[in-house]
Amino acid sequence: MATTRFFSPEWAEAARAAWNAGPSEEVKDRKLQKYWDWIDDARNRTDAILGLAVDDLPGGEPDCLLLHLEKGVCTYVELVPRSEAEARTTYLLTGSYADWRDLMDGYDAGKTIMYRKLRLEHGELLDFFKGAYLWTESLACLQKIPTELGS
Amino acid sequence: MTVTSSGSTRPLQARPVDVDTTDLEGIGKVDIDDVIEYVHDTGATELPGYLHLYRKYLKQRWDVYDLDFTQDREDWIGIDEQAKRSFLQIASGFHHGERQVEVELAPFFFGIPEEYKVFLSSHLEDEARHTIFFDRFYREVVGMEGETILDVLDGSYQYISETFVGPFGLLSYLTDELRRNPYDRHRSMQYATAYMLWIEGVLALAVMKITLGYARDAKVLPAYTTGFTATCRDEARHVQAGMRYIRELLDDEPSLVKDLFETLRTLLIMSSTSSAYVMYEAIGWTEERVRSLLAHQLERKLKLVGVELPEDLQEMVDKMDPVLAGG
Repeated sequence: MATTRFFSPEWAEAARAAWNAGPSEEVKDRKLQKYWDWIDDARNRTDAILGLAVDDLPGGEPDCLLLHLEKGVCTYVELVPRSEAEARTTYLLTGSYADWRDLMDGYDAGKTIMYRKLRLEHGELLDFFKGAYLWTESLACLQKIPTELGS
Repeated sequence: MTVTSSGSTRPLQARPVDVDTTDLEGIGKVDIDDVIEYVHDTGATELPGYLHLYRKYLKQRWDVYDLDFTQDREDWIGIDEQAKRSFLQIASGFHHGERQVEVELAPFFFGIPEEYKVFLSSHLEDEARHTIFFDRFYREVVGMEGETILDVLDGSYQYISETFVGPFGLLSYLTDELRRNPYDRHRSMQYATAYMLWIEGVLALAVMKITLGYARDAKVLPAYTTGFTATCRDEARHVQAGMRYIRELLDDEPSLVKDLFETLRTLLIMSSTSSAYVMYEAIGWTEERVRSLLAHQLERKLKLVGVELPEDLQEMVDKMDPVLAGG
């Protein structure tokens, strides 16, 4: 399977597709239906711009992916410099390139949040956590993208 | 039989051991229901002062390396697989929870009263000791291996549910907010509500009651029972200090109750689902009894801080489906 370079325009478009495709049936089957119902409710409440930024992306800017979400569906993505992101995002998650690489390599999305490998740099914290499992499961969906990562 | 205010039944017996003063050997003989009562027995109409609690810590401190898990290992081998799994699904929330409440405490030091800082130093030491207690239990009894504490935590991660990241992720991110703005009283109230009121005061006490009740009734895991009952007594001090702090904040600035409610609203939204089924029946519980226990614990903590829940939050309490974890 062809891979796309992390944070390239092609990768950003693949991120939009993976976000909207959601988890595989296999993943869904491993967890209770009421959990997925909760996520569906959270998705329907979510009109937001989510920024995902890399602190030290090799190659530099643009180092922030903006996902435009309408009722949780990603309608549009763009890559922008981190310096623009704060003013434009509802929530901005940032992390080091090493931590992003671990996540893309399969590191658990729940641990990524719990161990604060991604930090909420901008956005109302309590509101963000009202959709907690939507964010963790959607981050896990990005792991499906065949990604070309450096060391 | 006697019925406790938390709704459980247990054999009628004299109370030969004083929860407040007993040593590590004695605490293993104390019934968990008595320790939970002890959390709410503040001895007066007002919650105890921080330095009073610090003095208690100096007397109640125990050595985690005094515990001998040899009998627990033998007991563990004999426990049936379903009960083992249910036990681990619940206890692993505490294994990870203790680590989280240990590492997420430091930024809270900056913005709290001077006497609370003194007490909080003992609180931090307690959490480090509890982390070692669970590390020893998972290595020596459950049989997990690892070079580091995080290796063993990785081993038990498979047993905790996805919804664990709700309250503990929130705590982690609130910690980061406090690190950036340590004197922000809104954040301090949100942090104390998530940590001392919800995680320690509601979730932790429920897990303690369930797993210790199982060990008591099945007459197994004596070192786990001793260490975890001692842990529960430690939590009593943390909860009392935390409830005092919340009350002081509210006395000083009543509008901060909005932060308490909004934090609870967030926690209750996250607690309205679960991702994995826990077979509570295998260790003598039902989901409905667990929900009732948690609701009761929340009610008692709110009483300690002098707050009544608005109707909409009370409705959410009645529907919660909480992750069982603690710290």
